Amino acid sequence: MRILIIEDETKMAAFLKQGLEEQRYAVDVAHNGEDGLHWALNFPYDILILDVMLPGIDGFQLCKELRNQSVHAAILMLTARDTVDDRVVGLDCGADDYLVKPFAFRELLARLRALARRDTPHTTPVLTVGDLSLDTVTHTAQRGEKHIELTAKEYELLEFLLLHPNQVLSRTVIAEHIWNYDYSPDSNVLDVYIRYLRRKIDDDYEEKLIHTIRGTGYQLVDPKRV
Amino acid sequence: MERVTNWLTLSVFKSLRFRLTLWTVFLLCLIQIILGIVIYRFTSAWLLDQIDQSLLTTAEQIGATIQPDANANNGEGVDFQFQEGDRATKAILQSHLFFVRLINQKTGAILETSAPYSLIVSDLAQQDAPIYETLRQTDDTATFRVYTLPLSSINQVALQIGQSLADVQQTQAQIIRLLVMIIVVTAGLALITGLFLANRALVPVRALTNTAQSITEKDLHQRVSFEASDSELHLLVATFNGMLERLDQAFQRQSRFTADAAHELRTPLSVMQTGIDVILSEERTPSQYRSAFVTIQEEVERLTQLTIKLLTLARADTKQHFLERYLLDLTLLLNTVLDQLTPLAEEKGLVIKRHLIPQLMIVGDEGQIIQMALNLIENAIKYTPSGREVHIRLYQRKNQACFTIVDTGVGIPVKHLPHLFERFYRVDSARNRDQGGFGLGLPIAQEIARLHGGEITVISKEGSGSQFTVTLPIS
Repeated sequence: MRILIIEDETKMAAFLKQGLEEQRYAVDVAHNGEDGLHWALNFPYDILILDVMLPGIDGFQLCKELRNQSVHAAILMLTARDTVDDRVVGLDCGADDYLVKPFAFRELLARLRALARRDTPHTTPVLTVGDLSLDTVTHTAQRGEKHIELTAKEYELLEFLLLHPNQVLSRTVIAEHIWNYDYSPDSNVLDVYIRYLRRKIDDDYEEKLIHTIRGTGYQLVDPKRV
Repeated sequence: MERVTNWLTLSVFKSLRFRLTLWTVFLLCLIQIILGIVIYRFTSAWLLDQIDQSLLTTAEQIGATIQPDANANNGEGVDFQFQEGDRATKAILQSHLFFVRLINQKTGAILETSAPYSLIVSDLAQQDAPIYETLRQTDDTATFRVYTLPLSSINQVALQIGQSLADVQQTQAQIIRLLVMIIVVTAGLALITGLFLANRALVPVRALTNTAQSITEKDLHQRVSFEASDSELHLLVATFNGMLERLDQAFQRQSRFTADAAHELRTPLSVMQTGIDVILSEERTPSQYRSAFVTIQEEVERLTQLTIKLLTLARADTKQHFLERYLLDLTLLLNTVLDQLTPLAEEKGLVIKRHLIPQLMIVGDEGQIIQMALNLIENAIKYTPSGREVHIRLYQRKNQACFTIVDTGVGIPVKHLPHLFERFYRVDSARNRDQGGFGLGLPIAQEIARLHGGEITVISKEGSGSQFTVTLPIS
């Protein structure tokens, strides 16, 4: 799950980045509207966290511009302005959610989880495919009755696969969604993580969930649908 | 909110239009009644006068025909008769509306009479002069106008000729009926048209009432339309609209200020809250805690500065600002401020040039004046690129101390100039926030200048710099 924070207050941006990375998100930061627009147009973010009061292009304009350019990422607006008018304008600009500063970090996380499952078949923070489930609040996985310990990267990888069940995902797409701009490994690293993940969730089971699509990438298959 | 009684449901007797109309009608009736009385009196007098004249003529005619008896000296046994000469006299003698009689003036005895009326003889008839009287018949059925003419030919005998006032009384009654009818009809018409006109004239007042009722603090953009109003009410409507306009602007300024203040207060608070939330979500090393605390400390400092500035402005607004009033040497004061700021300017590679006349004295609050000078000079240093100059001038013009700060920086675009002293206004939000400004320095300086009876003005040219001028009254 990759997030772009567009926030001019550098300390705020730093805290947000730190907090979100600890929650196993891949995070990039832009400090003004122009940079934000550039980043959002060039990288496949899942969620944009957008401050309204930005120097240069303000958040409302930026949001409109992004929607005009067919950026489909969920947009969460963060602002110190809390009037009904501000919220209405924000949402009507194409934002999906609106959070007034100061806010509790836990609330931001809950809203991000809700936004993340927006276009997926999942309706709760527990992502489930077959007998495999991943709790995005506690970051714990389970297959059948067995608890599975995951490292941060394995978690991110599994979360991304679970959010797109039955879709064939290329190595590049997967990599772009689980690593931020500062760390873009070659696809071999991804294969290594896939192998780790298979060892934990597939190897001991008859029914394999992660399928390799030769020449393309990977697919998490829901056994009930096939 | 308690609603004002609706204009239309107001008790009709208490309403302005009703009372106005009632007064008009009352005055109209009063005038008509007075006029009616005058008309009635005048007509009555005229009618009576006509009768009197005809009585006089008739009496003289008849009187001339009466011949005394040679034997009769005391009026007793007088033998005379009315000569039925001309037609008029004949008609009078035959009419029951008239009578002619002779009386003994001394005793009041009726010697001869043409009609069977029993009219008393009043005391007035005993005088020697001719006299008019109005007498009632003894059975009170009729009233007569009576003319008494003492006969010169017969001693103590007078001729009385009377005419019934029945016709006159009938005419008088008709006049009264007519007048009463006119008064009643005009009063009714006046009441109806008065109410109608008052209603029409008060239409703008109703519009005003309706508008005033529908106005709340969130909905001040409504105005009363001018269509139905004229003259005095037009002025009232214009005044009312003007008041709404000023209130509207004041509310807008106030709500903008509140929103801006809230934003400025929330920004450091949200940095602190997010920082604390993130830091506390896991176990940290001492150096991580320390770094978080440093950040939070900076934000607390920022909040403190903002709070102090907001308090300064709030006090200035409520005129609570307790100004100390001492005689101050402005030259000395500015030199102190400039000495204090020189390191800052040097660090930036700027030269501050002073052109101050010595010992310019003003009365004011030392702390406030220093604060104002600091705000203005710091601004000049902030916006002047390194290697250039800032000129500080102090001179006297008439009875004012003028203090100008001329920078050679980038200048301020014209569109920003009218807003420069507005609270939280930033010429460039990005640049200013990085430098820690709130957009309150200039508004505070302006408030301080105003509290001292002075003012700050600015002229600026994009590309070549700005000039701020403070004028303060000299002691």
